[in-house]
Amino acid sequence: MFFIPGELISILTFPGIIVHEFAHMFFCKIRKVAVFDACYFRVGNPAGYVVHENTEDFNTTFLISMGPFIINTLLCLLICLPAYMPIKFFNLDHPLSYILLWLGVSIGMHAIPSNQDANCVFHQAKKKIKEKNILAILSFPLVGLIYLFNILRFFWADLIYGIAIGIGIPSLIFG
Amino acid sequence: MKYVVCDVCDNKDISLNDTIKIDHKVYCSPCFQKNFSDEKSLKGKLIEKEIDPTICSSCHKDFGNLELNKISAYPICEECENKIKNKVFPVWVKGFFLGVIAIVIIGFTWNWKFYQAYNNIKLANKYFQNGDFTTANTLMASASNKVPEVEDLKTLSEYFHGVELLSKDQSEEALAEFNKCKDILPPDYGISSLIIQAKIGISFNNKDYEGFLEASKENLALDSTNPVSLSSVASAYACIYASKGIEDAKQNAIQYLSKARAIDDTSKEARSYYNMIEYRIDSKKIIRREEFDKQFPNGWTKN
Repeated sequence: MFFIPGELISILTFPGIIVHEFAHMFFCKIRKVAVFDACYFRVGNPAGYVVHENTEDFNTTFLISMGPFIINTLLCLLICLPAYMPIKFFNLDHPLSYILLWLGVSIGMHAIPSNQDANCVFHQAKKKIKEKNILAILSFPLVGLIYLFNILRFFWADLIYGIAIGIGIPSLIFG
Repeated sequence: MKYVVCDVCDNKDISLNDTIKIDHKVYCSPCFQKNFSDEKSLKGKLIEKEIDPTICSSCHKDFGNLELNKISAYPICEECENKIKNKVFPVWVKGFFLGVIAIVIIGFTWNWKFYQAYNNIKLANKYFQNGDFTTANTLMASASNKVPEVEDLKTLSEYFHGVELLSKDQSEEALAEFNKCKDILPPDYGISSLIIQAKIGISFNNKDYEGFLEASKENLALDSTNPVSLSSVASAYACIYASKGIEDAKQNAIQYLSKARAIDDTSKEARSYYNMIEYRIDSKKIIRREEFDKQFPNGWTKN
């Protein structure tokens, strides 16, 4: 396992960080949650953040926290899908296709919410599960997976996820 | 600004925002640093941070004794409240996101032809397997036209076109197509066999029955257990007998016909072909398959 500094990874995959923060902010705007501060990209830790007010509405918390998972995953697939066919099926090594793959996988790599996002969902889900909220029930395994995924980041789980979405899914569809 | 008294040093001019409560006791910053130098010393203690309601948490402006409205737990002045509530994406972020959306649209538009070609190839192969060579060729040609930069597809299109021409008895044109792709396609495409079949067709059309026999034997050498190959040799000998009256040719035709029968004597297609060869031997007339089927729709029987 080789180690690359997080800042270097952030620079190489900066579109994913911008989209990740954009997704948080986007769902804050949709759910009318006040945003105190937002940083879409910087060289540092964290590489981006959105500071917003707390909300007691579980659906809102879920959407804001899981926003990047939805938007980054979707964009990763949509960007990689057109690039996949000429490379894989027609053996055409056009540089533009590789740029699309880099962009798509970079965005996919930052799809998984942070532990802090998972914590927010987990704390509210604990309360909401008493009300038999379906989303709260579903969010438990999801939160567990997020925690596990964030541990596995050390083993390039984020890159593997990006590749699985950007290249794995098109190869499942088109063979 | 609100001032409080530090419970440790008794200083009365401490701003509320510069204090922290540990187990209900107020500490100013220096006293806090002095008493709790590391995180471990705070373990198990109740920590409370009070925020001065007269100072805006966003712009840090002091509003004297006026208590501000709160957003979440933070006192925010009216101006900042408007800014926060109407916070928009920075122009560069909007531009970036629009750029990403544009890339998605351009990516799909630019590469759509590959998906259309892929779909046509899949359908072409399906039709080809079902024996509809005309539709298969049309689809493969369309795929090749959509992505002319893919040389392999051009070759496949020539191959499909060749097979279609061969199925329509246009052997000369088919041979020209097969010759274009014979050195490129892998052996499992059976191009050698197709070239021989085209040669058989050309020889027959030109009434070159010796050439027909030679090509048929070449075809038989590729697979000596194929009844079609055996009956093709029989057909060629039958043509030589019909045109030149050579008795040996007749015997050879009968011999190859019986070999073919030994392998396949049941399929309708094979029986019809054998019947035509028998007719050729008996009548010494060389007619095409279509003409034979037309003349003898229920098969030929020796009277």
